[in-house]
Amino acid sequence: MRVVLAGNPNCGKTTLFNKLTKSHFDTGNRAGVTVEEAEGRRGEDYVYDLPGIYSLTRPSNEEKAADDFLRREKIDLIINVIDVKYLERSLFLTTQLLEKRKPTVLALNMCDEAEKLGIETDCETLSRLLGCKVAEISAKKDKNFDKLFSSLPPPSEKVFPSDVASRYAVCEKICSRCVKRTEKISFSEKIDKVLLGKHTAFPVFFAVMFSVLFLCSFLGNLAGKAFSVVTEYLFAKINLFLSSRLSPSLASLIGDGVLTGVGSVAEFLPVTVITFFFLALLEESGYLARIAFLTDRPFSVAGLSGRTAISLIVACGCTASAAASTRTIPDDAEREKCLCSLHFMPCSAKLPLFATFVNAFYPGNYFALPLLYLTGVFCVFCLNILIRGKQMQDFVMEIPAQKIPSLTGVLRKTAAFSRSFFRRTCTVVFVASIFVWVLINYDFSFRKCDIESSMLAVASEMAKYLFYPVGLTDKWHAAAVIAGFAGKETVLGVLGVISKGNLSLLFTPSSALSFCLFILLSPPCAAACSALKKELGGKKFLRCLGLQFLFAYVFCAAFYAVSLLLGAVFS
Amino acid sequence: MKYEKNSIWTVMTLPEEEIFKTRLENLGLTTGARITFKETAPLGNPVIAVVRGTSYAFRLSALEKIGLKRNEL
Repeated sequence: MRVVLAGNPNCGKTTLFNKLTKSHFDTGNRAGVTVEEAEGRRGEDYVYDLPGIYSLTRPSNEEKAADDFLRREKIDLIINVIDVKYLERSLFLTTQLLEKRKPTVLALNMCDEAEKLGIETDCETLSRLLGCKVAEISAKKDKNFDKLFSSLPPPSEKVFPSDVASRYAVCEKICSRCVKRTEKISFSEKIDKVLLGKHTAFPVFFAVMFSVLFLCSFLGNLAGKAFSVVTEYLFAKINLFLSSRLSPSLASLIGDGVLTGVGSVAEFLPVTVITFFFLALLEESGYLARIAFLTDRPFSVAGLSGRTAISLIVACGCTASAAASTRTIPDDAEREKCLCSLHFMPCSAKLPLFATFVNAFYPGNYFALPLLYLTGVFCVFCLNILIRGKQMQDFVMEIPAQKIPSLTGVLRKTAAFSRSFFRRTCTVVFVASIFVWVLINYDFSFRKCDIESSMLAVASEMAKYLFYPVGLTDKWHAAAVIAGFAGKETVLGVLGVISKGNLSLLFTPSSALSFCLFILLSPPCAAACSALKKELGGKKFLRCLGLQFLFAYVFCAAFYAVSLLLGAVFS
Repeated sequence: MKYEKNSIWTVMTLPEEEIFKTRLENLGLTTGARITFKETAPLGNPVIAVVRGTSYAFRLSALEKIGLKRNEL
């Protein structure tokens, strides 16, 4: 049997799908998390999860894809997942699905939540009025799934008006006959008084963001150190084993090249996972959508909308994950601008680098890291005000109810995020770090050599003149920037090898600042670039990359010039 | 503030632009639909309004393209 799950965005389809097929796709308390149809199996049956849609007729990509899918594939059963809290709106899609004249079941989801809000739904009347089977389920708590599959119901024969307004009027009528509401002030409304209140909203917002970022870097740093102790021990063992069995050059390739690459990824992995955990927490609770609401006004100055804020926050975890999250932005021009500015946020691979630099050159300066985030946001505004382009006006976005996130939901989401992140880093970053290893360890005639005469050293000897205007004068500064393309964590790796752990051999406090600024603003790593290319397409991607480099270069050069000037004035 | 908290309005006309119009219709904003205003963002824009039981954030410039009439109390 071929079963398809259809329903509005954020109605719990993917949670149901994951439970039915025991998969782990990404879910979240906001609209548009699923963007492509997914396939899974439940025993003998094939189950398909469509992206969330409001109707079948309309021009957006998801809706077209869903409609094409229903036309193309032979479907035996449609399960229309409905969040009962939003029955009236959901019924519009239901009427269109019923017109496909296929066996259809309405899965009324989140009934327990609705009951708490004082919403009661009469399933029998609903079933009679729509002419199809209706089952109450709870996707979260695994309730009543068998009811969905127990028997194939006959297709509905109801006819609905073709005009949109009158069709909605029918839905309204059906709803008024099946749903009983006793008005209660919900948890969500109470907490929104504080979260969105005139005087409390922004203090709460900054407090939340600050504590999240602080916890991420603090816990991440701790876990990273513990993690690297373990990996170092393991790698030492493996190296010992390798050198006794393999030829020296091969042992060195695996030992230094591959393992160091893996090790550098492993070191910032805890920060990333912890960041993803907090992102999942923000998203599950519904606060992420509220952040979009709060920040829409300032972002409109730069021709963006509050949705960009969501992607920028995801970018604090990983630029590549954030690139995928921009698909919920309906306006193409805004989406492109957002994709070009994601890398300004200090991602979790850059964070350890900045932390190391702050510790080495500005010890005890607690404002340095938050200042980097603010610089990132400032540059998002600068870049977008400069390129401006078409203005975005029609901002309309669903605001889900605020709720206390469930731990399993958050953990599942963290796992899904981390898995896709790990897959990406395992491929792209892995290959790139081997490439960098070759650059560091071989000269141009492919003879093994030390780093002083390696390909990277020779290349950066030439490239360093390019970086003079931004305040980076040493060839190793250039080398580290180049190596950063493989993954921002390799920057620290390369600098570590060259400076033998003492960064002050390579940097003065002021050039350290220029360096951090340039790493913050320069184009993202290979993994993020490949994600951007996927989202933008080849031509736009190249334009975006050029723009990113140009902006970073000009901004850092201007910063350097001003700092020189100020230095000359005050000394 | 034009859109007072808890005031109820009726959608009279929808914007001409086909894409934006259909997006609104998909969310339940059809002619005749009722829209109840709730929160206004601290910076005055956007506003949250409830349509058919669902909350949406609307930028004021988007609302201006929709013909709304305030219901008599």
